[in-house]
Amino acid sequence: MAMTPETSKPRDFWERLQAIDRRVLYTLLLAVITLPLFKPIRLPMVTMPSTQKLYQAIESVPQGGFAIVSATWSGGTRAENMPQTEAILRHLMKRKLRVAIFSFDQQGSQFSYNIASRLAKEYGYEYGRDWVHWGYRPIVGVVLKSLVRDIPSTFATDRDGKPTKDMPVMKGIKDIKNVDVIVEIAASGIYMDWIGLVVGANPNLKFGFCPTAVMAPETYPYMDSGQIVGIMEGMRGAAEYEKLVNTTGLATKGMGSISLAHVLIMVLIIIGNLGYLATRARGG
Amino acid sequence: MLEPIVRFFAPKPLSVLPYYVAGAVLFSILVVILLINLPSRARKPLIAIVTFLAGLFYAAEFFWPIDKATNKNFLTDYLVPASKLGSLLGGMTLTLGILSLLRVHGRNIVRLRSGWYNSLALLTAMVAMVIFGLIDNYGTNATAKKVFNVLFEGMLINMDATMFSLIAFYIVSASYRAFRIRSIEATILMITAFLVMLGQVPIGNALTDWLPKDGWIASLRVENIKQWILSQVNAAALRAIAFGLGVGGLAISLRIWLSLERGAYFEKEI
Repeated sequence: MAMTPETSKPRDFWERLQAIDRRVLYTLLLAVITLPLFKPIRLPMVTMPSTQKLYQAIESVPQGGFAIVSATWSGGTRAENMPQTEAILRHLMKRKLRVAIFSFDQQGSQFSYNIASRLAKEYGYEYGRDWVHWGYRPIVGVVLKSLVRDIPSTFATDRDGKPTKDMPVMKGIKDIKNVDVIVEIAASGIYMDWIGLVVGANPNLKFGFCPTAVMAPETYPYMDSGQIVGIMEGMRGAAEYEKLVNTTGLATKGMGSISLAHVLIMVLIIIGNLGYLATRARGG
Repeated sequence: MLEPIVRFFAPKPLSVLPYYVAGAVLFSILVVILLINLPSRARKPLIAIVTFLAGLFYAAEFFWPIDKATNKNFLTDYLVPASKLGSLLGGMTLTLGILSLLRVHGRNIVRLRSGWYNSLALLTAMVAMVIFGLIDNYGTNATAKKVFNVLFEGMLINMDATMFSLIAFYIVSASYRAFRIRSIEATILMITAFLVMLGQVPIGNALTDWLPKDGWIASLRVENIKQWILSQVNAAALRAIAFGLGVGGLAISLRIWLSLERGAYFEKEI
């Protein structure tokens, strides 16, 4: 039987392989995450079909179309969700679409506003004319049910409390049928609420989802069914998207760190199992 | 019919707002006193009635046919006021949470219990965020706004990120210690996990980058293997789980809506 690394002292090499000190593991992880940020590693990047589909969906919206971006994330997942938000907003502004942003998370509201304000300057977007930020909105189900039927009432004021009804960006926007594309950037399973309450209400609506990588696998059935047009999977998806919109952002820069961290985990699992199998073979 | 209610809950000018706020506070206190003094035997029926009516509103609004011209039914206009009511209820639960925190941690500080300084830090942070948050929203003091910025963007957001990033270190340690191929199933799981992990990062793509991008042999590229696992094997399993969850969720919703749910909280004396 294998020994328990934390409770008994390793006896030989194979047992020591199973009991590397956690401080060594932490130091190794810290090193593989930080070093590539200072010394970037060039690696081939293949665009996944899920990312390509999201890109194509936004490409297919005519200029002046109306896009809603929901940024339901907070500081905890900023490494993944921030580059995703930036890549999506960059694409929407490049395509000259009208953009409305809001968030079901207070931090996400602030983050998305900061990102959009910065990109708006870059793309000559004027607040109120080309884009608007509806701010933080609590209670997902109620907001989504309400926006399907009546967008001006649901988002009567922007994040600063200014009325939105006279803003040029909202011209002609009454309900979900006037919306061309919705992108939810989230660290949670909120896509289910969008699919359940909003997506079916407009057959022409394109709904894209940008989850953290750990959330991505559970969303695949909905992309198969067409309810989600495309998925940007975590930081890797954001890096692919940055490539599609011809920019180099945080996600692209972070791919070396992510790669090495994955490799480190695999190597450590293999080392632990080598020790385990050798110990078991000896009848230990 | 419900038009006066909608008008009543519409935004009010600043001149009359204090009266509405004072009235709302008085009304809330009255309701709370009434609820506290309600006989025990009347509490459960009251909860059942309120739950049923609230559920009925959303169900009726969803299923009732809409007028093609207006794209609404007779309940649609009340969705927004209903959402405001939901926000109000959320606000009340927040108040309860704050009161509970003040009581528990205030007692820790007053009695100088072990770790009382942690309680002090918590309450100080909470009060500071409330005060500077309110000033940021409604005030004009530039210094206070800067302080809020430091508290929110400088501290809260970064502490949140720090807490979350610690998970990476635990994952490395836990996967190394716990992931042992003790059976065939565990071996299959590990191989699958490795393929998905390699397919997820560019370094994995580099391993099979020498293979052609088209033709049947392209299926052996690690990113394509990962894609196949996710879109075929994983999606099929998740579809089955989601279906089961959906049916179960519907049954539980109906049981709660009709106050048929039993066990745990639902049978507690209130």
